[in-house]
Amino acid sequence: MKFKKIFSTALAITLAGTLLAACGNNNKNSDSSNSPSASASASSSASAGTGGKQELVMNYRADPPALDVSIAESAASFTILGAISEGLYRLDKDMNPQPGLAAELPTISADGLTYTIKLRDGLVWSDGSPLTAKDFVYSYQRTLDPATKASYAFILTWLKGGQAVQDAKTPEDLKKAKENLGVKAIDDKTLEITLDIPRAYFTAQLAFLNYYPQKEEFVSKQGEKSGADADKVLGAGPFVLTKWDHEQQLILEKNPKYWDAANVKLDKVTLNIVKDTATGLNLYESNATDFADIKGDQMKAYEGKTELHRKSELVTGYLNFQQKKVPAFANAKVRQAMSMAIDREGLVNTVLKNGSVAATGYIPNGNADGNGAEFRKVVGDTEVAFDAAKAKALLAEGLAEAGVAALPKLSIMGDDTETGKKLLEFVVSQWKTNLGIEVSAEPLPHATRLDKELKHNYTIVSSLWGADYNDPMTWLDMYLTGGPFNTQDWTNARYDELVKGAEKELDVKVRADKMHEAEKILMSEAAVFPLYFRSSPFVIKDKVEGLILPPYGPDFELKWTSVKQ
Amino acid sequence: MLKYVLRRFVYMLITLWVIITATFFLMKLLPGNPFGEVAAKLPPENLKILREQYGLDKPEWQQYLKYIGHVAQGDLGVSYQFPTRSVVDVIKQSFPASLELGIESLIFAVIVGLLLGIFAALKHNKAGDYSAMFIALIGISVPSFVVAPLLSYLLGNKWHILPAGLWQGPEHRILPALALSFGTIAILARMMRASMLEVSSLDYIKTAKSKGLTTWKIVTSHMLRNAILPVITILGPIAVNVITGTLVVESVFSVPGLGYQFVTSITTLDYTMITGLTIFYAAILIIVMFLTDIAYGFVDPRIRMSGRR
Repeated sequence: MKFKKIFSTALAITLAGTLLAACGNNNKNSDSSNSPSASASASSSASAGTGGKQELVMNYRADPPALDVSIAESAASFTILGAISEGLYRLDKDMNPQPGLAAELPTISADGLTYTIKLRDGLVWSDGSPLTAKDFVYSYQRTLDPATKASYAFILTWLKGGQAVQDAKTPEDLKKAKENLGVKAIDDKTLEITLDIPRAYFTAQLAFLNYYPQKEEFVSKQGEKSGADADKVLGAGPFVLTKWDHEQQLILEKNPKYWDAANVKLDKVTLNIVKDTATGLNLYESNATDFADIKGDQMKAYEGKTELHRKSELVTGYLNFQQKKVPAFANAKVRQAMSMAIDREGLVNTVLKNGSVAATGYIPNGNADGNGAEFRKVVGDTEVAFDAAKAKALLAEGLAEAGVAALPKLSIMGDDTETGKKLLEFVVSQWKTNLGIEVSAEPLPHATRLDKELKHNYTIVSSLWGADYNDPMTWLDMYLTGGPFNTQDWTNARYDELVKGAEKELDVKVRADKMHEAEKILMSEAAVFPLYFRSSPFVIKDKVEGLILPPYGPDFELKWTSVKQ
Repeated sequence: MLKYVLRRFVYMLITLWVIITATFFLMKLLPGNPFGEVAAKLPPENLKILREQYGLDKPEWQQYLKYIGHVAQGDLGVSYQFPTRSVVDVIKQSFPASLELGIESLIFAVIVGLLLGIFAALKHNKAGDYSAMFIALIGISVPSFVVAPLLSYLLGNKWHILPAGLWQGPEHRILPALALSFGTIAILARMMRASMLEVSSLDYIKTAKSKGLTTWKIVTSHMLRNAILPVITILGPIAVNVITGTLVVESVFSVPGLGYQFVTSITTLDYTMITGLTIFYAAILIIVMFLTDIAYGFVDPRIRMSGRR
């Protein structure tokens, strides 16, 4: 009965469930290659460093779109380019600029407009060719050139004549505007930058990706494909990108030609693209990675452990009330009532649970005030306090003032992510319990939500804003009357006057004061209702030292990172 | 026969054209802006250049004609989300992983599924049948978004038997292939069982039995050949399904495949990517069906004839 025998074996496999079959499969596989468990532990010991080699394995949540200094716009591009290239300065763990490609901090003219910067001796690109002040001039001109279509070009319009380059219509205009642009290579090692107005945070901004140099010969050779692959990107930073398998893996190796190579400890960094945080944590716990980004509900298991790190970001989650679609929202009291009815502490503690803190204003904790201090510490708590009882009375008062009997049918639109949906549910239930009004939740895909928001096509929206640079203006100029991100059609003459005044103000102190007052108006009018200041949790193996998690721009800074052997 | 093949080929092209057209216009109905947040940060002049570059300034019918022309030349355009990558590049980069994963899971599913089905049919209405079908039932009712994370967590994280994710050595292939094959195993097992049962009641099997042949001989040389035909029919579409990538399995095990691209292209409104991937998926499906049709024509003359009426 040969037949029976074979099938009883088959039965043994199948009945024991496919899991067992997997092990059978696994054993067969391990004959031909390394046993999987052995290689799994091998990869972890690799990250621990063998033979004195400093290696780090990290999960990374996204494949960077393009590693091109001019057109990069995502945190992923900022992060990788920050590792393979460098600006005049590099921000340290306290967000203070340290000389990078520049030899020392800039010499700033008395009026605060002209920055003269000496470059280091013997700077080279990672291909060995010399790096000069001209590479900065080319880079800034290229970013501003309308043909480059750089979405972050606005940050370079701070240079004198920058706007003229961006607005140039004809090739002649463009050439002339480029010549007049406030960036000059005095000689190969001296750069002179002239600004439109004094900007106290400009030295730190020079550390930001958009102010990195670019080598003209290399970039123009790549054409449309610039930054598309590992061999189509050139830097002068601590690492070189040696491998880039799209959507799979990036490998960074130490750049021996970097000016500060002696202080770069890591020899190799492997970034594996992992989009699912549950898988990311599985990899972390099975020692296949040294770094993983996690979610709020995964954070609990690590509470109190040194592996858990929280990154407080310059990101605020907020609500906007559209004032043309819902005329009642034009009344400040109605907006205040809607805001007052939401328990922000409850939101961060029961819904987000990721270390985010309840907002105490629009500009988040950690954001500078443009005058050497932290904005929130100077201005304090400007948020409408949670008070359910008062909110109801205020709503009635506001509606009476606005001359409407009741609010129309309302819906709140937001992102259809896990957290996004939970947030909508929470806010809706708060309004129902505390104000007795029905609002429907409308979760949408990100692109759709954003499009509807920018077209002012909503009644209430839950949105997010992150700082593009560390100054209050990145938050305040969006609520100018008619601004592209002033989607709720709020307008306040005094606010416009203050913000526009601050944009042109030469005195740093006066400028900061104007911005302080502007935020107070924004908040007391409840033009925007900030809910929380975002924080993101990570788990990082204890052996990893010196990894910086900056609050804006790149996701992490690798230059000073090392692995304890 | 040649005429039959030609006719099938023309049908195939027409189907493909209908799919391209429908996708193109349906996609334009999606709300949103493919340039997203960038659109608001760019000055209007730059946005205009950008729109011109992608041909979005022209009326839709012109965009459509231009697109069809490009597709005919094998050019699927440049992705909106990754302006430095063409859709063809993305397919070239992402498809091999999906294809490999699909083939591995299919091989596994065919072996296990057929064995289960045959076994159940032979033990018809006995304990063996019930337990085999119970396993198949679990395979059908437990979705991959439950199976995949469980496998990753238990075998990868808890027991350290296999890697919890990533796509590197051969050991990284096992869990995703397994997770992907669950549903297919169940379908194949149930089909094989039904088909076997049908065949086993036929007269020629009785004849074989009365001749005194062993069960082994009857199954391998008489029953299997006839019973496996319907299974082969559905194997085509199943194969297409598993090789074009599944979002869940790919994302849970961090496989750099096509499934993820498919879904993100829709949420980010990457027009060229949506149409490009749909065309690619449809083309594979249609080509497989075309081949199945032709194979049928060879196997069964009645099918070939019926087309002539």
